[in-house]
Amino acid sequence: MKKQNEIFLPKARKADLVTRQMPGELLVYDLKRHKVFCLNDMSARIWRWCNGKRTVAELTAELENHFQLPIDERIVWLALNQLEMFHLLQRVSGVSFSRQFSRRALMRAGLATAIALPIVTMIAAPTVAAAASAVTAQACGTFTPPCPGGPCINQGSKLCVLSPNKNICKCR
Amino acid sequence: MQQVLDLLPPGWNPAASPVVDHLFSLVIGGADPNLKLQRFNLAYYDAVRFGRSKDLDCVLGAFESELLLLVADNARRRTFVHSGVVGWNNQAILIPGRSFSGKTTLVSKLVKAGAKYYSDEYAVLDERGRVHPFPVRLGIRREGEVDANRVDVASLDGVSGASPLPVALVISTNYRRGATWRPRELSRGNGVLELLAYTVSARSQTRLALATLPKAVRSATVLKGVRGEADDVIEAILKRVI
Repeated sequence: MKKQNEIFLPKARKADLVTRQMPGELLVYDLKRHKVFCLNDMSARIWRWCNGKRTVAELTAELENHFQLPIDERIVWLALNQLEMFHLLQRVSGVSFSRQFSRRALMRAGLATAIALPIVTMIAAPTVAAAASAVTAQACGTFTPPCPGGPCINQGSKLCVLSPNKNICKCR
Repeated sequence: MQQVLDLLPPGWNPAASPVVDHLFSLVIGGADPNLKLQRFNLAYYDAVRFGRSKDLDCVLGAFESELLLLVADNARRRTFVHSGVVGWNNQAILIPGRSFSGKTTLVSKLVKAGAKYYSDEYAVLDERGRVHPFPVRLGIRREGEVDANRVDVASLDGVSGASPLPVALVISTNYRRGATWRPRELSRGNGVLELLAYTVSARSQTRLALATLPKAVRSATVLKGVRGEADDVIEAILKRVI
């Protein structure tokens, strides 16, 4: 960890992202993957400070300075794990992220008492059809391609899409 | 023709421009006694056929759905979120969700309890985050039925709202038989995600959506949780909007 820490200079990805600051939170829209993220204050600060010049130790020091509290380095690693998982960091070859810093593990270790742990929540932005009303299987059958692609009513997770062998729409 | 006009989005107006941006065509079928056959009803968007059925109501339903979606996706200064909306104490309550999540039931019960009806289909948000009336007819389903009966809000003894309202409450919920309403409060950022998940133009007009939705929730409470019967939660919901 120590060696990795010394060479690892995380850098926030900036390309193809739209951000929107809210009080205490940051919204990030990934235009490439059509995923939307909500970063809490801690995650947002770490992400913003990832400029490719700061080590994890320096990021930790920045946080300590900002919050005026002792911050465990594992909290920064937890944030970096999440940011990396959601493709919000630029790819760095040769760095493997440890998955041992789960939020639950840090809470068990008593690291979540004074400050909020970094949290990144994610949704997939819907397609036009997915945001639309669901259709019945019968109504789906009345569509001709291109099919609406929206959810079918009372059909589990089936969608109104093109039937593979016929040029018709069907709940599948 | 009147049957088709009734399906047009609330607030539609005849356009003066001779330019046609989008063309819908309906070909009405029906029985042909001479040929002893039943012709299909057909619906086209430009040159693409999107509806074909011997049941005219099915094709008209597909037409209404396509048209609303087209308006929602192409609106340049409004963000359309698939959501039920009512007004209470001059503030709006949004219930985003898919069909069959129970939002129409909640909306109709809230209207019967005195809330103003704004929409059963879309929350139409302006650049200030206020929600505008979009009073399409409510699609009420009886238990066990999949097809909705379209009813006017007046048949529920309700009234439609007329002016835009700020959002006070966002309720992200699903119906589950026997469930108790114990919602958790989400942060406003996560509230934006809840709305964005049902925003028609989330992908095509990302920047507009990301500018509008945070304004919509800036003074709103966002609640998430399963609910049981609508009658058991109406009072709790309305109490949240003072």
